[in-house]
Amino acid sequence: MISDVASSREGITSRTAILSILGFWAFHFVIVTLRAAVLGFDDQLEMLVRRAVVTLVSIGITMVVWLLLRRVHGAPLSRRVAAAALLAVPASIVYSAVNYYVFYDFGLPKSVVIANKADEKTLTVQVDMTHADEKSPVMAIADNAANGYFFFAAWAALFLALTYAAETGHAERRVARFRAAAQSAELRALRYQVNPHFLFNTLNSLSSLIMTDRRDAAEAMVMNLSTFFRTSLTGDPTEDMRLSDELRLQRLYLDIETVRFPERMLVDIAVPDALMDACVPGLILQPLIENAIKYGVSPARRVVRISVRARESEGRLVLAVEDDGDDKPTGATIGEPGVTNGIGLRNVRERLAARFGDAADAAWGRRPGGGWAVVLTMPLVRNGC
Amino acid sequence: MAADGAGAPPVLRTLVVDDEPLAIERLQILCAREPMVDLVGTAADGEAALRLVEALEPDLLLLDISMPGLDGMGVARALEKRTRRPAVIFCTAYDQFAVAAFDVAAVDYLLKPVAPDRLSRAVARAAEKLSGAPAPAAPETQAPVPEAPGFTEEFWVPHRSEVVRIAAQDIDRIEAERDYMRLHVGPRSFLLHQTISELERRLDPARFIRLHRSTIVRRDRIAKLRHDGLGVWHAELSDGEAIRIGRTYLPAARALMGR
Repeated sequence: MISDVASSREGITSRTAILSILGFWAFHFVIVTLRAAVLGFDDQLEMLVRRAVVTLVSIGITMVVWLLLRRVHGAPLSRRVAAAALLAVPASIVYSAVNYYVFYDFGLPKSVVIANKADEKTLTVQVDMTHADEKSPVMAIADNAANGYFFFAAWAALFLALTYAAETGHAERRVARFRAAAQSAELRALRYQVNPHFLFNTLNSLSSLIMTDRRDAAEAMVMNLSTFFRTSLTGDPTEDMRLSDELRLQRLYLDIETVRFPERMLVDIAVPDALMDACVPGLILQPLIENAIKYGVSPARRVVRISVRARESEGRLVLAVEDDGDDKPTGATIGEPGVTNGIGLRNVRERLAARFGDAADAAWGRRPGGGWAVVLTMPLVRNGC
Repeated sequence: MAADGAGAPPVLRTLVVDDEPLAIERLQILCAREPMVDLVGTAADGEAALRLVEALEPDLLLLDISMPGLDGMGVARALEKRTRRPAVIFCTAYDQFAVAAFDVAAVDYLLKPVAPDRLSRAVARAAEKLSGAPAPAAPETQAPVPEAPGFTEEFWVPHRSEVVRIAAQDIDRIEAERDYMRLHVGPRSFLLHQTISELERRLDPARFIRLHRSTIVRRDRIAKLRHDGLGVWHAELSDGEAIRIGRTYLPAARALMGR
């Protein structure tokens, strides 16, 4: 079939269409034959042959209808329904004419003579079979065409339903594919998103170290920075990371920030060794630690402790990032993390949902003693990262 | 400002304010290389900065914006209440505060790490501004248009790797582009993250007129109004540009012709 590629791309294949036609008429053939057998009609064999002929012709007509219907493929459903309804009209007339010819006009005696030889008086009843039902051929064909119309309409409905289902399936698969692609692109973008504050403040500190000739400190900072960016930029964002690797990366980030805030920041990471090989979505802690520095350390004029904790609870991994910053940041341009940087925390929640569905959760809020706490809960996975 | 005799360059007594020790050190080194700068002190937060301004009466502040407690914007606003106020040069790592800087009079807006030549230019501008206005005479030092208070005279716009100053009077027209406003200044244009109504509010209506949902034009740039029939009007600008006038703004625009 010429348009096989096109039809298989969007609608149903030619094979499916032809099978639907053959199946449809075969079903009709079987039903009518069974009816004839059950009701004990005369001349069943001969009728069977005639019926087979009509069925074959009907299959041909339906094929033509199908080829025509295929030309309106891609049109709105309403137009396709209208086309099917219209096409069924000539189809049913041709069908009915053939049916009439095969059953009533072809090879049947014009009259039947019923004679009673036993009796001397010959009773001859002549029945003109061609006009047995007292109708003209045109009338008979028209009458049968009205019935036949529903055969073609029924097949067309079946065809449209199959096509529509196939198209919907295609569209759904396409949407799912797009969604998956968008999600992975989004994750990638999240990863590549460099916090400009962090970058430029760090470059500023670095410049200062160079200008004051503190070569070792400058070198350490360059190495930390490049390792941090390399790890965060080159990994597959949809892949999980071992908790130990994630913590090492966050440690690098915290080391860089400690150079900026040498007297204001205390880092306290306590994770049991048994959980170090747990799998977590890569960089899932990054926004939390960034927030702790931005809203905890940066606005404070004293030492602020950032703590990272991990524990296992009922087969789930619980990660907590907390700071003991001021109860209410006083800086005019600094707001609540939940308000101004809600996107970061929401992203964490969405990433967890994308990875674990309902099995993961992110909760955050003010700590009673001041500061901010974020707790992530996710299934404890130890393989595949 | 102390002028060391005739012909000698003025020396600005300068205070550096930043919450990061390394950032202060860096500016200290840069200032030591500036002949016009005499570094008199450093502060690590906004409150300390204000105390030092009180005690040292500096001519210039190199002011970080993001700081614990009172931030740089807060310091600049507090300084505006003083009769003798130092010139302010903002130094910040990122340009997100540029829009807020409209509200406070700043000499310049520098991005960290500050390039030495960029600092030199900013200091020269500060010196110019300070020498042009005798110190204690506060009223004349500020506000070129005293009859129109509350209108922004200059905008700071992130452009490429720096933040550039655009005087309101140099803007020919402003066009909205999604979340941004494009400021047309002569042959150049700059993108500013701001809503058009906020911008309209900041501009002196005696000098600027809104012609469309997405266009503001400087009044003296309008050459003539043209009626294209069916109630469609265009304003032809002196540079040949034709701006369609929105229905809502038509009465105000037609009032222009009456002038």
